[in-house]
Amino acid sequence: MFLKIENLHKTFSNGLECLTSISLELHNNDFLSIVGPSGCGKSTLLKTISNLESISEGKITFSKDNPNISFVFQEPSLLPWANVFDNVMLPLRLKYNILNREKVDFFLNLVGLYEFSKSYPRELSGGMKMRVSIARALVTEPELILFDEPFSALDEFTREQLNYEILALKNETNYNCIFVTHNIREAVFLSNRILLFSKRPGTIIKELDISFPYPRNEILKTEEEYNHICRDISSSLKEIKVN
Amino acid sequence: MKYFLPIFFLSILFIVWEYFITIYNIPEYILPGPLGIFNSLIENSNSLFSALFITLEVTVIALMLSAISGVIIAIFLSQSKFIEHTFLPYAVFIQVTPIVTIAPFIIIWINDIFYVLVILAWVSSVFPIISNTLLGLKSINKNLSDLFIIYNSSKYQRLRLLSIPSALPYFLGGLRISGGLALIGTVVAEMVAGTGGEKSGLASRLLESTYRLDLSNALACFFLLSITGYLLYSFLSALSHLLLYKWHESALNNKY
Repeated sequence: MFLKIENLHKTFSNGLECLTSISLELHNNDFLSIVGPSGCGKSTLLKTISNLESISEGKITFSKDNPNISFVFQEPSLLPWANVFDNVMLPLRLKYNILNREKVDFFLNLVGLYEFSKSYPRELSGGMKMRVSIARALVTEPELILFDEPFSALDEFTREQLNYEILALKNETNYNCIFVTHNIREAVFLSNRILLFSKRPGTIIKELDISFPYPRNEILKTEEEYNHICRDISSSLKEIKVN
Repeated sequence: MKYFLPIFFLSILFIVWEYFITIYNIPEYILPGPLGIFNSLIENSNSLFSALFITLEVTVIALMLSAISGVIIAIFLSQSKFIEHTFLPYAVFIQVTPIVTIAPFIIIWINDIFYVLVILAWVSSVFPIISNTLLGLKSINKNLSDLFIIYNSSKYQRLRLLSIPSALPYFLGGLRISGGLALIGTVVAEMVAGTGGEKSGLASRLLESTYRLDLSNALACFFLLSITGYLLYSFLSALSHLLLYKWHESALNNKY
C-alpha cells in the first residue's frame, strides 16, 4: 500500500461542503481513475493529497515520509518564457536545486520531444505541450503522479495517442497514479481500478476493478467486455445525475 | 512605407504653412514659418542641444528611478492585501495631485534645482509602473503557482523564476507610459521651478524665448521636445519587443 485516505471531509471556508467520507487505498503500481460529475470535488481531492488544500477532517497517510509527488494539470501550464528544456528542468531546480541535463534529455527523449528542447511553448501544438507537461512531471522520478483531467482539452486522436503513451511510460518508470477524468472509455482503458464519485458533496459510490492485463493496446477497445464495462459505468453516472 | 507616410504628410504641412505665412505676410513674432524655425535651430544649435541634454538627463534619471522604485514598491504592495489596502492610496495620491501644486514645497525643501527636477519628474512617472507591475504580480497563473508550492520552491526562486517573468510584460507596458510622463514631468517642473542661465533645460529656454517674442526659437524648442518624446517612446517599445518577442502574445507577428 502506498497511500491511505481515511474518512476525509473537506468543507471550504465559505461553508461549501465539497468532499465527504472519502476512504481509499492506493496500492503500489496502481493506476486509479476517478470518474464523476462536474464539480463533485475530484480536483479538490487531488489538491488535498498534494497538500495544496487543507483537509477539514480525516487522515491522509503515505507509506513513507515526504513522498515524491508530481501534478499534471488540465492545461499544460508551462512557463511561457522558458523553452521546453528549461520547463522540464524546473522541478529539479525547485526541489533539489540541481541542474541535471542528462535526466532532462532522457525524459524529453521518452516523450519524443528531444528535438524540440529549444522551442518555446507557443511554438508547440496542444498535444506536444501536454507531453512537455508529462515529462516535467516525470523528471523528479515521482512515486505518485496526480493527473487532473489532463487530456480534456485535446482532440480525440491526440487524446488516444497520449493514453497509449502514458501507459508505456508507466511501464517504463513505474509510478503510481491517480487519474481524474470525465471520459469513461479513457478511464477503463487506462486503469486497473476506477472510483465513481457522487455529485457534490463528493463521495465514493462505486469501486470497480478492471482486470484486463497490461500492456493494453487498441484491440482492447473492440472487445465486448470493455464496451460492456463502459456502458455500465455510463448508466451508473446517469443515475447519479438523476438522483 | 511606415516612415514615409508621416514624413510625406509633414512635408506637405510645412509647405502649406510656409506658403500661408508668406501670402498673408504674418510677422515672425506671431507665427514663424518652418524655414525660420529651422534656421533658428541651426543658429542656436549649440545652446539648444546642450539644453536638450539637460532635459534628457533629468528625464532619464527620473525614469530609471521610477522603474527601480516602482518595482520595489509593487513587490512590497503585493505581499499582502493588508499592505496593499494600507499603502496603495498614497501612491494614488501622488498620481492624481498635479505636480505644479507639489513643486513649491519641493523647491523650498531642496536647494539643488537638479534634484528638484528629478523628484518632480519621478513623482509624475512612477505610478504607471507601480500599478502595472502590481497587476502583473497579481496575475500569476494559479497552476504555475501551485507547481512552485508542490516542488517546495524557496521565496527567492518563486520571485525570480515565476513572479518577475510573469510581471515583466505588465512592467514594460507601464514603462512605456512612464517614459512620456517623465519627459512631461521634467518640462512642467522646469517651467514651474523657473530654472535659468547656463544650466537651464529646453522647457525653460522655450519659456524664456516666448518672453523675448522669439517664437522661432520657442518653436524650435517645442519640436525638439516632441521629437525627443517620440524617440523615447520608440526606444522603450523596442526594448519591450526585445525582451518579449520570444514568448509573449503581444510581441507575436506570426502564429505557428
